[in-house]
Amino acid sequence: MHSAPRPEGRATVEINDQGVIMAGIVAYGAYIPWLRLERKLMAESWGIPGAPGEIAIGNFDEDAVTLAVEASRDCIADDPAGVGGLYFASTTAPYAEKASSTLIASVLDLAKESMTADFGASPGCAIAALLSAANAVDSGAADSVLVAASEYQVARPKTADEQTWGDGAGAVLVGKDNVIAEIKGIYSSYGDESMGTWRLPAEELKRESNPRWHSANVFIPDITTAVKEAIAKFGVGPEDISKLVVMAPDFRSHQQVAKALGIKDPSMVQDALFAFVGGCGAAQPLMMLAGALEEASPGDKILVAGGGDTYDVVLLEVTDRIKDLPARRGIKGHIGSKHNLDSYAKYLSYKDLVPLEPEDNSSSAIQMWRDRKSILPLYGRKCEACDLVYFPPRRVCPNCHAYDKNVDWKLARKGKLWNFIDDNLAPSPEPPTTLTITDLDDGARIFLQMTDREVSSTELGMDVELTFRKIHDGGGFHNYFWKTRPVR
Amino acid sequence: MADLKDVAVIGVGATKFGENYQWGVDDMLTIACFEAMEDAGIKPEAIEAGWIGIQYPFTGFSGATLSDAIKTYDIPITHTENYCVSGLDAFRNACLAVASEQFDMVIACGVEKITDQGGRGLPTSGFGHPVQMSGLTAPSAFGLAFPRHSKEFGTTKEHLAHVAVKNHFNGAVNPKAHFRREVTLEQVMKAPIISGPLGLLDCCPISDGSAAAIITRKDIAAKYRDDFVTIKGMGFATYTNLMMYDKNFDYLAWRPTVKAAEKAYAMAGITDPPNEVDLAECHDCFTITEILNVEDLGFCKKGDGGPAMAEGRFNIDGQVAVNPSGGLKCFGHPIGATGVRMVYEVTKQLQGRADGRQRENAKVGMAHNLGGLGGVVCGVVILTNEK
Repeated sequence: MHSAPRPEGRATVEINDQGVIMAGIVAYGAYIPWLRLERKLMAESWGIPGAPGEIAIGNFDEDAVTLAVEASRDCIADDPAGVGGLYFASTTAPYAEKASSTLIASVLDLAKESMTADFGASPGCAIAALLSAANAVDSGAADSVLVAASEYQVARPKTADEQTWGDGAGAVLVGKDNVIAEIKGIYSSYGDESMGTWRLPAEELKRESNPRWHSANVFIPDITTAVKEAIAKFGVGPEDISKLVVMAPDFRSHQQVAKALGIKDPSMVQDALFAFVGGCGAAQPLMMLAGALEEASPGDKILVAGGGDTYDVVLLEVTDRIKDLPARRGIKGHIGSKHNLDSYAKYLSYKDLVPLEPEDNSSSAIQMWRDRKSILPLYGRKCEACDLVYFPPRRVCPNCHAYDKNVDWKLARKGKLWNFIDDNLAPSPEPPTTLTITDLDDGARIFLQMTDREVSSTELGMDVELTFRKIHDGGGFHNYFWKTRPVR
Repeated sequence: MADLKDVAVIGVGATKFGENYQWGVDDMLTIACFEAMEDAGIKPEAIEAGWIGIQYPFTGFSGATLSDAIKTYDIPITHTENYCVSGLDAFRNACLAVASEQFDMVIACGVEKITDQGGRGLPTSGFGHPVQMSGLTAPSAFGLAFPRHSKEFGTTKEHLAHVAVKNHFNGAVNPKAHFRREVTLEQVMKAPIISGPLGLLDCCPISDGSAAAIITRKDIAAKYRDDFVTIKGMGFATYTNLMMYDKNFDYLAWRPTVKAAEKAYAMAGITDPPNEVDLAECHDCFTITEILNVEDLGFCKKGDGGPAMAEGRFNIDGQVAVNPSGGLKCFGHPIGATGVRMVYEVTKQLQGRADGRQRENAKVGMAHNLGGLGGVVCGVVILTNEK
C-alpha cells in the first residue's frame, strides 16, 4: 500500500498530491430500465397525493444482477479484455447467500483469475466498493477492477418510498491505464450508529424508523461533515469543484445537503435522477458519476460522496483522455429510451407484490453448471470444417455433420429478427411472450424470448440486440439466460 | 418371405375422444383394445405381441400399461414414444413384426390421459433444458411457420380458418369426435388469440382417448374377414428438435412430412398423389400445420395450401378428402392415441363403414402423423382395400 498521510481521528484520508494513488476511472457505464411508471398513476391507485415525474422500474425478468450486467456491458463495451476484477454493490442482490459478483463476472466472460467481491448492506456500499477497487489497483493486486452497482427495489405499497425509489445500475472501470479521471483524494468515515433503514434476514421489504428524523439528524450531518472534512484535507476549495456528485435517499435530502454545504450554484450539483428515475440506492452514486462524466471536460474536478452508514468521498480530476472515450449509452442514452407502464397492477405483479398464477418451472443446478458457458457468456460453436457458427453447442455440426471439429465461439450480441410469434399460452406476468428467431451478426441463428418491446412494433427484419435476463425461478434458484430486444 | 405390403389390418377400435374425466388410462385402453379385438373376431389369447404409443410419462410407461389393461401377460409388449407420432410408430413396429413373420397376430394401440393434469395447453417440459427453449409452446412452435409462409406465399389468417371450418364440418357427424359441432369462418376468425395468427379455434383441443388396431398378414386376414385393408406404402422420417436454430430450415415446409411422404409414395408407386389418394387423415394440430402438410404431401403445389383449402379441394367431396374424421382439430388429439386413431379412421373409410362421413368410392387412404415442437418427426402410412 502507498504511504499516505493519516490524520488522527476516525477518518482516514489519502491525498494524491504526491502521485501515490495510481488508480483512476478508465470508463463508465449506466443502465436505466426501459419501463417507467408515473407517480401519478401509483397515487391514483390508492387515492393519495402523488408527486410529479416517474420512476424507472425493472421489468419482471430483471433483477439487481441483470441490471448490473447491463451497466457493466455499457462500461466495457462487451469486451472483458484486461478487466481484472468485478466488485458488485447492491442492497437488493438476488441471493442472501451466494455471490452475485461471480455470476456477473461469468456473464461478462471475465478471466477466471479475476478478483470478485460482493458489497452490500447499505447504499453506501457502492463507494466503498469503488475505494476497494482503487486500493486493489494501487496495490498492484489487479490492473483494473470493474465496479458495478445496481438496485432492483421493492417498496412497500402506498408509501412515500414507493414513489421515491427507482431501479437502475451504474458501473465504472477502475484502472491505471487510459484513465479518463484521476483519483486525487480518498476520504473515508462511518456514520453515527442509527436505525434509519434496515431489513432482517428473512424479510423482503425494508423497514424504516422515521425518515425525516434520520435525514435531518444523521444523514445530512454525517455526509456534510464528510464532504467538508474531505475538501479541507484534500486541500481544495469549494470553488475548485466543478461538480458535486452527492447521493441522498430522497429528493428533499439531496437539496438539503447542497444547502448545508453552502452551494449557491445549482448547476454544480449533479442531478440525482429523482425526477424521472427515482432514488437508486447503491446504484445512485455511480449513475450520477456516469451522468457527470458524460458532461465533463478535461480538468474538471468531480467530488463524489457516498452516504448511508458509511460516508466516503472521492475527488476525481478529468483528463484529456475523456475525449477519446468511445460513445456509450450512459445516462443520456437510456433516459429517453422508455415505455410508460399503463397499469399499477402490472407494476405490483412485476415486483412480486401480488400472487399471480404460479408458473410450473423446473431446473437442474447440475445442468445449469454443465452448460454455464453457453448460458452465461453465451458461447456457441464454430465448425472448423464448414465455418458455421451455431447454437446450442453440440459436438456434431448441424450443417456439415463434422464430428468434434469445432471451437467455442462467443456469439454476437446483435442481429436481425428472422422470425417471431406472440404467444398467449405460456403463463407470463405480461403476455404475450414474444418468441424470436434471430440471425446474429456472426451468422448464428438463435431462438430467444423477446423483452422490453411494444407488441405492435415487432416486425421481421428489425434490428435486435441481446440482453441478459432472468427466465424463471424453477428449482428454487434464479435461472438466467439471454433475450432479444429492439435496439435501444 | 413376406413384406410390408402383405400386412393387413383386420380390426380397429377407439374410444370417444374428449374430456373423458370419468375414464382412466386403463378404462380407455380396455375399451379401444376390446373393440378392436371384437372387430377382428379374436380373443386376447390370440395376440402374440403388442406395441403401445404413449407420449407423456404421466399417462403411463412400459408395455405393462397395455398388459395391465387387457391382461395379455407373457408376451413382448413395447412402449413407443415419438411425440405425436407415438401411436403411428407403435403401428409401424407392429407391421414390421408381422411382415418379418416373427409374429402372426399383434396389437398396436395408443393412449393418452391429459385432462388429469389440469393446466392449460399441453404440458411442456422445457424440452430437456432449463432455459434454452423456455416459453416455447406447441401452438407457437407450429405457428412460427405462419410469418414465413405468409411472407413467401401470401397465406392469410382466413386461409387457416378454412381448415377449422372443414374439419369441424366433417367431425360434427362423427359420434366419437371430441366436438360434435360445426364452426363458421367468422367464429374461427374472431376466436380469442392463442399464439400469433392462431385463435382458439385454430388449435386442436386437449383430449383423452385411446385407439387400437389388430394386425396380421393377408393370408391369415382372409380367415377373419373379407374387407381387411393392407399396407400400400409407409415412410417415417425424423428431423431435429432444434429447427429454430437451423439456418437450413425455412419454415415453408415440414421437412419430415416431405421426407416421409417421399418414402411412402415410392413404396406405394404413387406419382400423382392428389389423383391417387382418396382420403388422408392429416396432422392438423393447428390449422397452419395442415396448410403446410397438404403442400408437403403433394396434394397441391407448394404455397397453394391456403387458396386450395379455401376452394374446397380438401373437403370430403373434394379432390382429396383431408380429415374426413374431423381431424385432430375436431376429433381430438390424445397424443399417443392419435396415430392409431388415424389408422382406425382410414380403415373404416376403406371398409365403407364411416357412417355419415363416408368418402365415396374410397380405395386408397393415408394416415399422416407429425410430431414435435414444429415438424420433428413424421409417419406416413398408406392403406388400401384393393386386394
